[in-house]
Amino acid sequence: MKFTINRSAFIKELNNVQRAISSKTTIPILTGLKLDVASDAITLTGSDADISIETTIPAVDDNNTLVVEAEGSIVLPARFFSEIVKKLPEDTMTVNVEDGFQTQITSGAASFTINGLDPENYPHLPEIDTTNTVTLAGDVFKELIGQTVIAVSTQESRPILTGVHFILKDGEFLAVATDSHRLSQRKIKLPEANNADYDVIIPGKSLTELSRMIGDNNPDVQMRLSENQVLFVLGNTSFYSRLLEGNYPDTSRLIPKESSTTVEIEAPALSAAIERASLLSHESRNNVVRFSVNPSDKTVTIFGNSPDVGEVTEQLQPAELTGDELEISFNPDYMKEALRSFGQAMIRISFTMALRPFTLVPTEDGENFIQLITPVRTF
Amino acid sequence: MDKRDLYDSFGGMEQQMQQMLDKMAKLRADMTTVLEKNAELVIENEHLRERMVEIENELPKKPVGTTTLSKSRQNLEKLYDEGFHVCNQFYGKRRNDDESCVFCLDVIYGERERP
Amino acid sequence: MATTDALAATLATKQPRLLAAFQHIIAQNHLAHAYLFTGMDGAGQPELARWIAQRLFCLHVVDGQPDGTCEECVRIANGSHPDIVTVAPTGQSIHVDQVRYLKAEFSKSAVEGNRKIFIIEDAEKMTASAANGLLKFIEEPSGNVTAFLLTANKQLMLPTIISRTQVIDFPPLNTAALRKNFEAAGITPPMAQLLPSLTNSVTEAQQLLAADWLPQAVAALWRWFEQVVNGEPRSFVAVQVHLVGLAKDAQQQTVMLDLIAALFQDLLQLHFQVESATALTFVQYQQALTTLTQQLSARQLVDATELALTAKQQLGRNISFQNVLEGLTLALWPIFTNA
Repeated sequence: MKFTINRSAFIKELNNVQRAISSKTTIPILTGLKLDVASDAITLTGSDADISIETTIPAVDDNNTLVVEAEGSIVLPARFFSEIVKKLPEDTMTVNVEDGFQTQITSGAASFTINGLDPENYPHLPEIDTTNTVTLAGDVFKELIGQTVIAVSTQESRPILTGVHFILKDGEFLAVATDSHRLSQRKIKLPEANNADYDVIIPGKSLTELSRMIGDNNPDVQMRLSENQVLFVLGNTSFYSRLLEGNYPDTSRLIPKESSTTVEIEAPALSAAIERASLLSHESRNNVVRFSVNPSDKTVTIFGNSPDVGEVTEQLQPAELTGDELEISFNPDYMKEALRSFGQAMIRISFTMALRPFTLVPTEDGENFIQLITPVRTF
Repeated sequence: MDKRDLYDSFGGMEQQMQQMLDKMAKLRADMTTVLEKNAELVIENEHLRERMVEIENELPKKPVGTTTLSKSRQNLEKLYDEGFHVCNQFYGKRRNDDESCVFCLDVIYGERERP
Repeated sequence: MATTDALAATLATKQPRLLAAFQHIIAQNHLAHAYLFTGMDGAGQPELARWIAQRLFCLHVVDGQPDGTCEECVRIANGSHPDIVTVAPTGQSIHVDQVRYLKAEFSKSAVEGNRKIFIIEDAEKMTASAANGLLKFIEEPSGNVTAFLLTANKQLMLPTIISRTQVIDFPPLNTAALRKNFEAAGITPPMAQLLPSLTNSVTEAQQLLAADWLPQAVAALWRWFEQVVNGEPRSFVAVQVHLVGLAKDAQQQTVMLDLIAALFQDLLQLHFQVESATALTFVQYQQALTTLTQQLSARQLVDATELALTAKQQLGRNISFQNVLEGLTLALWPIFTNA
């Protein structure tokens, strides 16, 4: 295998695939980076078994100045190879694989020969067929991930809750995540008619990494499914993720349909107040903050109280307040994270009873984005 | 102390500590089971008392405003308040730090279509 | 056999019946979700688990055998297949991080295909809480999963795990075959004759022979043994002076107790003429053993052997090696001085 390429074009893609490479892995060959060289393009692959990133550099693009002299494949120690490439002297570099997987890297007067590994030992990425592709706008998808992944579980006790549940049906895309204490649900109507039918659970960690890769120059993200992995195509880069196995619990029944008290308020204002109250709650044994909703004078008062630390109170004037009086307590960190996901919007909080979960939705669109939080009992 | 003995005693201590750890884990699990059983019995007791009073005094209906839950749901509510999960996801597990669980709340208060 | 698969070749020598049984089970599609492979070290447990993995993943199965050369077989053999998840203890126990990794892997889909294999070696080294955490996954794995738990100590496995697996006992390798294996590995006859009572594994045998430890241990034990059987009180002192220092770790302690049990068993066998004298474990002391056994009654031998066999359990209960040996010596004392 032998090719020559523009170094900075190569480094850009190298950095992309390195996001998936971890130094701590149970399969030693995964600390390596795979290079596949075909006559018209080279493909770089990095993986930690859970996520795999594959990117292609075509010869046809002049910026790459890619010249392929011989086809072939090799796996090279990722970190070491990357450091070498970044420190080479000239604009271009040549990679040449000789017998016994010895790989020569040259640039100008510098020449390295390093030991490569047998590419046959590298895991195979699944073949994913292109029927039932779902296309989403990059920024919309990135926002969706940001809004749902905050609610995934971080505990190993119930692994299926560490993922986000994606359901595609009748042209509608639903994403749900919950750790049993709070829940986040986002609905998107797909722009084009689509017959795809998906029901998968994607690890939260994979989606977070994917989100970081959706840049401004990725207008569209294409999602495709195989039996056991999901593939997201962003331009020349393919992002694969393993799925979680099992049945995700039915969450539709968890979202209350009616309410007895509603409060409309600007998310940032409420968030700032909650943050102040949590200064106290973080110092005490219970991280709990209380709302006192008072319809008669249209106020919401935030209380924090801890016998050995102190107390805090703040009164808020919501834009709207209807329904019954209510005293309810909850974890302020969940509230803050939920509020942050609304950005600058005006939100409506709907309560039923002091011991039942309450929801937060944007006032402009109460159907397509819902955050739910379970309250905490106070005695 | 003889070097050999020193090594031996360290090895022995390590083994003993590991065994103690294992014993503790098992004890903790056993205690949780016992606490659960205890919770069930307390609830049963409560019910029996209520029933006794009802029978003796023809107890009036509960005050307006509180939702009446079926007996089995009340049991579950009590167990939940004692600090245990009653949902299918985490059935029987202790709720760490009394944290709330949306699945349990649905099991206790949610609408159900009984087959 | 039309296969160049190395695992199949090893298993055909070590456990031909089990190999054939599993060939049949797989052909009939009757593979269970979870197996417990138990038997002495070296009896072939990991080989069979890997062979089954190869058989299930191989791209060119011929006559019910994996070909050993396709990329699936090769990667399984060299441990780089992502859908064969292996966990083995590093040291005395399987670490909590390893258990966490296992639990996570049980909930994730396969990387390449649609089936996964789990191999847990020395499974008895999982702590009780770790094992309990895996129960649900072993009982009801999601997806196409087969788990193999391997152990040389079935009695140390949690009953709750055993009940959720199909237990396959690996019979110890035929002694003559073992002896041949050891001799082929360059081990001299008196040791090669002795080792089958201790292990099935050539690697473990070589470990025991390193730095001449095993011959030294045998010589020291023989001296003690003669003293005990002749009712000499200095046998008690010999424990601290000659024996305790020889056993530097748990494995060596176990081996020494196994050797003591084997000594008494040799005496018993000679007494009842169960096997020919050449089949003795301690064939190098055949003459002395024959003389000794003629001075003793069946009752004495049976009582002594029983004590020797149960001494090993005391180690498991965390009594120090010195105490176990001294206790054994004291218990044997009345048996051999009342003659």
